[in-house]
Amino acid sequence: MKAIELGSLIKTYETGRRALDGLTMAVPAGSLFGFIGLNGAGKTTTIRILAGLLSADSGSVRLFERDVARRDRWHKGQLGFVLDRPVYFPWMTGREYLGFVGRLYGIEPRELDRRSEELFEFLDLESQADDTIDSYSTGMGKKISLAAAIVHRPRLIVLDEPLEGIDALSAAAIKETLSRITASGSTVLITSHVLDTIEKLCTEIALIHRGKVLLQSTTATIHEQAEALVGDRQFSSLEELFLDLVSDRQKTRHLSFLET
Amino acid sequence: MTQPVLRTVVSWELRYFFRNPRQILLLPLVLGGILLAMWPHIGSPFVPVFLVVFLGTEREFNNILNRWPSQHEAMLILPVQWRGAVVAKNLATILMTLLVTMGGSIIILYFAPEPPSAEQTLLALLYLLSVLFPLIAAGNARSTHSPRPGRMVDIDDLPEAVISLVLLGVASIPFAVFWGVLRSPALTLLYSTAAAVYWLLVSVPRTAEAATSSTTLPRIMQ
Repeated sequence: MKAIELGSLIKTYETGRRALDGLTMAVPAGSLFGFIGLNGAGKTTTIRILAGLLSADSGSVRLFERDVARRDRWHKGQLGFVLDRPVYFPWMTGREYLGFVGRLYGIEPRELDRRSEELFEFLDLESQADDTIDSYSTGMGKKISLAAAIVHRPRLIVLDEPLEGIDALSAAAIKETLSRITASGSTVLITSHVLDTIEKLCTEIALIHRGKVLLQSTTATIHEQAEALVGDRQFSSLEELFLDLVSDRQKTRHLSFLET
Repeated sequence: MTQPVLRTVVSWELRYFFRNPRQILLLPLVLGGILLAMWPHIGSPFVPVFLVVFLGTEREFNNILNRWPSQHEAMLILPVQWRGAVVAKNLATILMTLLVTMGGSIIILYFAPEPPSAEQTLLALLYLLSVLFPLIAAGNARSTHSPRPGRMVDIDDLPEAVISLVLLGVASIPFAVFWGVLRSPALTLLYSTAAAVYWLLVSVPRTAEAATSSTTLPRIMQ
């Protein structure tokens, strides 16, 4: 079963910039899926389309083998999001925010309290649970967004740069949680600029460049796939492979003023 | 939208209204209202009360999708049933209006040279009833056509306040006709009921539809 199926997605912004240029991708259910690409490659646009915050000009979006219309509430109940720029209510306390979000997901108050306490403890936010979110650091903001994204036990969690700005201890806890979430049958789609993390954490990876998927493969076979794609060159790491596939070889990269 | 969810939205909209430092703007408005109430030619002492109420709560009528920054975007991610959400937000607006009307009346009428008569009070209630739903319906339309997703206080608030006064003037015309000319409380009540029905059957679904349409979606990254 596929958790996400994106077919020939095209999105051009009003500025004329084409963010997605026929993006086609399938995310298997139960996978921990890494979605990597340069800045401006189309990752965030794809995620915003999944979240219903943007509409594609054309193409199809299916979640759990069901077509997604933006007005369909069903799929939002199945999803949890941590966006690149977290959208939460900064004037609420962390506890109030989880309470608000949890009630909209229809979680019973007692169960919601139990889950909230557990999440605060797990994410080391107990002492800040009653502080307003606008007093949180970037990392704490990511944590409360993550808590809100998983409080309703979604089938699919989409995380755009969830580890950015998070301390090493929390990052390790979050990585472990993501692995546990997928072990319990849920699907996780994650973007990160830390390719080493993606390579170690994810079971499958898609590399997006200029609005198209350049390469999609299981982590175990991605090197072979890439080598088949570019000829006989070999790559020692995902980062090396990534740089080789997306770098513009024609472009001279030097700063003349530093060389005089 | 289920009852607990409806209650959740209404309750948080009200909580935000009272926690929002922007409400400090009500103070100079109330001061202006007191001065206006002291003017001997003002007619009903409720005139300054309603001016203060509708100017002070303009954003609660005309910017319902973004009562706080990024609210629309955040709620689009959640499994919100938008018709229910619009009803909840409008109910919150009614409660805010009633609370500010009560608070404003107590303060402004205290300073008025003459206490209002029973007839003036009843007329004020009839007037409020006649303008409330037309203003909510107009506010819903403005919320989707000219959303203000940014800061709590915006430069756009000034022209919106002027538009709000114009809308208040237009919304007052039926009251002026049905009561001022025809002296018919029954017709005024009938009009108010029709306005409420229009709000529920036309304005709410239209606003809910627009809340998720591509033209109203928050323009991030575009």
